[in-house]
Amino acid sequence: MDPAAFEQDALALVDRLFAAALRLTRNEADAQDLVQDTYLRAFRSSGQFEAGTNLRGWMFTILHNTFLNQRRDRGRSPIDADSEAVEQAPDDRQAAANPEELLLRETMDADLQAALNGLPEAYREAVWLRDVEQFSYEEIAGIAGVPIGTVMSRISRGRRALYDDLVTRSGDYARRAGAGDESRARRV
Amino acid sequence: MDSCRDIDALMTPVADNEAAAADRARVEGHLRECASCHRQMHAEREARQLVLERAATLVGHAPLGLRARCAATRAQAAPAARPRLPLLSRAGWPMALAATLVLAVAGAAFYSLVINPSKAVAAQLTLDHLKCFSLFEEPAGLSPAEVQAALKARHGIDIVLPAGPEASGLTLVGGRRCLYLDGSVAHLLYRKGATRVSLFVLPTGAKLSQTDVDVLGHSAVAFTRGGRTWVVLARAPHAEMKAMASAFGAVAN
Ligand SMILES: [Zn+2]
Ligand SMILES: [Zn+2]
Repeated sequence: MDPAAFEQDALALVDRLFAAALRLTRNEADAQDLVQDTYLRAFRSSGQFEAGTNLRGWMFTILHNTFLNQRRDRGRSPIDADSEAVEQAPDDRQAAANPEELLLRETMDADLQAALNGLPEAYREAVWLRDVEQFSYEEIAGIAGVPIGTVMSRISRGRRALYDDLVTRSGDYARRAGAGDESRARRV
Repeated sequence: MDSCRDIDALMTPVADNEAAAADRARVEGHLRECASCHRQMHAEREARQLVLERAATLVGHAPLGLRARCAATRAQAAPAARPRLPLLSRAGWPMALAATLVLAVAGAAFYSLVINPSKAVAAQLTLDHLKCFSLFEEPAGLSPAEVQAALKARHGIDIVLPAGPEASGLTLVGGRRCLYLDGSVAHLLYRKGATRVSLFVLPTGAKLSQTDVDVLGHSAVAFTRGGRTWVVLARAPHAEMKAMASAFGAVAN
């Protein structure tokens, strides 16, 4: 592929890669380093990229692997203990009692970001790649290096945990709003 | 009727409208009978819908300058610009040799010589200098011992910070790991009055060639100390650069 065209197409993804990096690292400075490092590796191996194939999937795969490498270099656990424990535990959570009365669409962006950040890493990544980036299950399996069944299970668990967290947040607001605001309190 | 476990595995493709018609029918049949799975599906669909709707807001924009820094990595990635031991040019050899002789003669624990970093390296370091001062300066200052311990614990960078700079009016205001070639450069941020001064410590084995040093109005001076290359970078006249390098432990030759 023509290097200038490759550079242009790759750099067009910087916003998306930074957003995903921010979700992985949960820290702006680390996310910037991660994205910069991702581009360095991408340019280095650009010869291996075949024009006309999936550049976005290729860049996200490099982002994923670079993230794991950086974390290893920084002496953190290679496995997200958090995710592993959750993955092995039975999914025995109870959904909220009256979910249909909650209006999730009123969720504030800051709450949604905080709830996403609260997910175990493997779930956070799977939900992000699916619902924000709209990658297929196969593409996510390729990016994260796990089987498709695991991808679907992570998306499912992640979405449900996200919902529970948002319901809890929404309930907190309603309680704080107090008895004076009946219309809001009734949703709890 | 299917067990909840069988249905659980089909929940995501059904929520995503990607399941085969037969699977969809199985799941829908089960959901009519099973309140627990019904609630799970409701949760999954609601969360999915919310994230899909907010996707554009969630992605937002990368910070100013990140795109330019990413574009700059292309030059860094070009094969010619990244030999394994970077840029010890032919002109640099006699210097290195002289340094070895100094070491042999003096028998000192470390040796120093002043060399000038290449323009390409200085440009990268200058961009990093500007970024790090805008994002990571600690106005209250930091203790050298604290920064030294953090670099070792967080990044495995084991260096001894120079003891001299405080006496020369240089205050430590930050320390982090930054990117240079294969990573792992220690970046120390100092203030001397209004002047922002960066001290970069390159990985063991990384050396620099001798070329021009002025980039974007900044100057860089490199020296070796304890087997590593150290680079001082600031917007300051050359004489002051040399004075600061001495304060950081360089021995002029
Ligand atoms: Zn069921
Ligand atoms: Zn830096």
